[in-house]
Amino acid sequence: MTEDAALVRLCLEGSEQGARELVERFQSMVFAVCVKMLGQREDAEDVTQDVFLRVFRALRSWDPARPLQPWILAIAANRCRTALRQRPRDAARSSVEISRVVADGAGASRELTDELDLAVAALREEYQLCFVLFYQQELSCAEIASVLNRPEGTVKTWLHRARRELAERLRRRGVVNHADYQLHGV
Amino acid sequence: MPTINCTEFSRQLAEAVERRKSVDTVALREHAASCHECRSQWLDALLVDRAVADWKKPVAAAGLTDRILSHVAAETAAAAAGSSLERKIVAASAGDDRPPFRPTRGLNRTAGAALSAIALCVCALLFLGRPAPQSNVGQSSTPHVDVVKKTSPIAARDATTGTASMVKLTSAPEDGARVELMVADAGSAYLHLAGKAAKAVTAATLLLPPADAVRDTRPTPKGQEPWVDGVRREIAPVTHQLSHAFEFLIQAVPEKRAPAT
Repeated sequence: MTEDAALVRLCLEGSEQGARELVERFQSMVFAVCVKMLGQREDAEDVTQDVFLRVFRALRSWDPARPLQPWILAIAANRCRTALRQRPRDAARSSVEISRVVADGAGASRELTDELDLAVAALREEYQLCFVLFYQQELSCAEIASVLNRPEGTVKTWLHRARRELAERLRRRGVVNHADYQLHGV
Repeated sequence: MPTINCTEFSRQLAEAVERRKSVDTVALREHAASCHECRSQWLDALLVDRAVADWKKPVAAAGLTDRILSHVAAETAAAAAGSSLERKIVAASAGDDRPPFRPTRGLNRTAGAALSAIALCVCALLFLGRPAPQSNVGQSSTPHVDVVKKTSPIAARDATTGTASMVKLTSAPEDGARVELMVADAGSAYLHLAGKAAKAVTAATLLLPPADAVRDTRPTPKGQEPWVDGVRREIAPVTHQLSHAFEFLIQAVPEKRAPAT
């Protein structure tokens, strides 16, 4: 029996310790994805909570032959998508915020990573998920394909487009210019 | 001099990204220096890599684990409270041969209970128009159902003492013959129909004691025994006492069930 299967079994038997271990093992991962997808910690905490409720509800339907992490990430991805669709105003606000940053010329003074967060938030859902899972969770394209239930080729295309769009947004906002780079030997 | 062409540049760049390797290699840099279009791509890749390198992984607030676990526990408790109907059925089914009915969701439980009640109603209505057993009184030699057997009056009286026991007039049908079941409460009827006698549901007639039979424990005056051939006189098919039958059905789930005699 795999470690995942043993843990799930404990949870299904009603072990409080098992439940705690499952939450502690995957909480950071789920929360990180939620924060990057939703852009707000409060929302991310709510969705993380919701994700684990659903995980415990659906634990019996988990296939022990497959790893637990992608299964939980798939639930998290779906909950993030749902949360994003339920708050169109927030999405609009995010866009406004990005516009304001650019207009104020404050973009250059912001930390690059904060700008990256904003830029990621402006990506399409699929690109966002792909990018976050690849760079934050360090999943391979094949693993992301499994989580998102899409062909690996599609995931690679999404990742490529996400990177291209991000670079374009960062450049447009004046965060970093190509001139900033020292092209050694070029 | 660049050592690779644009196609090879794109391939190597994509491979470096997918394998999380640095895009700042000699080959890529040399080609980028000589090709304006590829240079733009390469600089974009460098920019994203630089941004991602410092991309902070958010840390969950302290106490989130406890909050999640308390929510899970609360939901589990709510689910347990919502399954009182299920527990009643399981408790009443104790001693039954088959495994107890264990629906997995609240909706299923509610729907299951509703469907059971509806099924019982349909069974009752199916037998609408059947002759009343009273017509049998005094004709013990020719019962109106095929396999009706005499029941011990003592066993039947148990129903009148409020013990809510189920009195089965016949044994389970073995050859598809029709049976009559006399029940003391709706729960017993439900369990019996859903249980061992399930095969005979379509051929069963439910006989209910009169509305006050369970409560009325007064001794019957001598010489006025309401039993004829082991069957209480007032007992009638549900079709003759629809309102009483519905009262039984509203009870829906038995509190207890004595084993069938």
